[in-house]
Amino acid sequence: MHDHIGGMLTQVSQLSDLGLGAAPPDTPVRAHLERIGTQSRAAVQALDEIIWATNPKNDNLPRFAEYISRFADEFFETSAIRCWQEMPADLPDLPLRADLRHNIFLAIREAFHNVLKHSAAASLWLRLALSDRQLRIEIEDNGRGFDRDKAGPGGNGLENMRSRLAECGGRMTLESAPGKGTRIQFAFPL
Amino acid sequence: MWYGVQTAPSLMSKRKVNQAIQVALVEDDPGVRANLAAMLNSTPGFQCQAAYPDGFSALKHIPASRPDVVLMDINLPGMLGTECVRQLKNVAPGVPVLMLTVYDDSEQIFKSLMAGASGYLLKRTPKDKLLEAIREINSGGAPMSRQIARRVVQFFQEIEQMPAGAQKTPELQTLTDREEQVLALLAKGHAYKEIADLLAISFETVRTHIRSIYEKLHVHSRTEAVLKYLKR
Repeated sequence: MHDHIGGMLTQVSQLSDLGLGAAPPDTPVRAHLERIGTQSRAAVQALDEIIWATNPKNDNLPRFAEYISRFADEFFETSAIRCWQEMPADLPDLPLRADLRHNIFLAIREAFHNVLKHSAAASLWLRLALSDRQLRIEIEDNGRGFDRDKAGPGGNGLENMRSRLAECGGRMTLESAPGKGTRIQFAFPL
Repeated sequence: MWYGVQTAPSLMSKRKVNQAIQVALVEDDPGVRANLAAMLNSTPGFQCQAAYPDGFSALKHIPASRPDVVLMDINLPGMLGTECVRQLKNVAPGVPVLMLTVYDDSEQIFKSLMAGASGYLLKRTPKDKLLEAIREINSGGAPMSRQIARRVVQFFQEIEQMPAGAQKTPELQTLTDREEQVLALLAKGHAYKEIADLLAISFETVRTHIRSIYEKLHVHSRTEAVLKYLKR
């Protein structure tokens, strides 16, 4: 079923490319075609996410790390933000429950959205480290940062992330100051 | 180096410079197949040489038609793309294969690379990036994503930890220090050009390292120990 939908949406994105190839320059139709392409790609990506989230084969640490690594790549690919990653290649094959990995994934996605929307950063670092069955994921950017005492943009997002981590028995820490970038850390037990 | 009737190398390179890159498609979905063919044929420098609906017809014709690059769907009916690329490497060695996949299925992707594919792309990849990847592969490039780079490192570590009897066949090779350095920089996010600068080697040398890493994977995929690893 999802293969079929994925195939159809893929065709839509290809047809938008073909349309763009034939559309005259500087016409409004180009913007529409581009949007058809972006939206259909986003739809396949969303399906990709559902398939990943529901496949029990992914209920382990190495698969999780691989998924957030390529999610980050695709997320920042078309932005001006360069994504660096520091992830161990030799992660042990520890189990990671589906609800847990999905919650953490959503928190990471939220953090990425904040960086993309508010940071004006040139670079972002995604780091993952494991010690004593405690997983630590760090997302750091070199953007404009913010004053934590003033209600800044993305306040709700921060609360969401915090509660997602709490649900997993973990916690979130945040460091930021104007002009100093932002660093978010998620830590939770496996 | 030998000289003979085939002063072919120079002819070959001229052909590649002046003529369109001949691409063969192996894709069962008629819509996707037609779109890919249209994308290629509407771009100067590219031509869709043939389009096959399954692995069997591809294996039958590609050894004789010798396209410059093959684009192959991972999820073919009857014979999986992974199996098709493995057999194609035997009957048409030297024809590079780029795998296409709708979803990011890392297992199938890694298996295809082990079987001899030169890279992979998601089908949702925009046209310009798809064409760029074909051009890159046609000019001897070997693209590798950082996820694959990490997976390769992990794979060779596991090979080295296998019991002595399983791994000590002569064709089993490990990575050189240089290859490990290249993979580590790739995993972090450096582009080939930056890796070349950081290691003070040429861009072409970086590519050679990546090709050699792919080749080692390919050699390993034929050994029994690794078949067991893949079946886990």
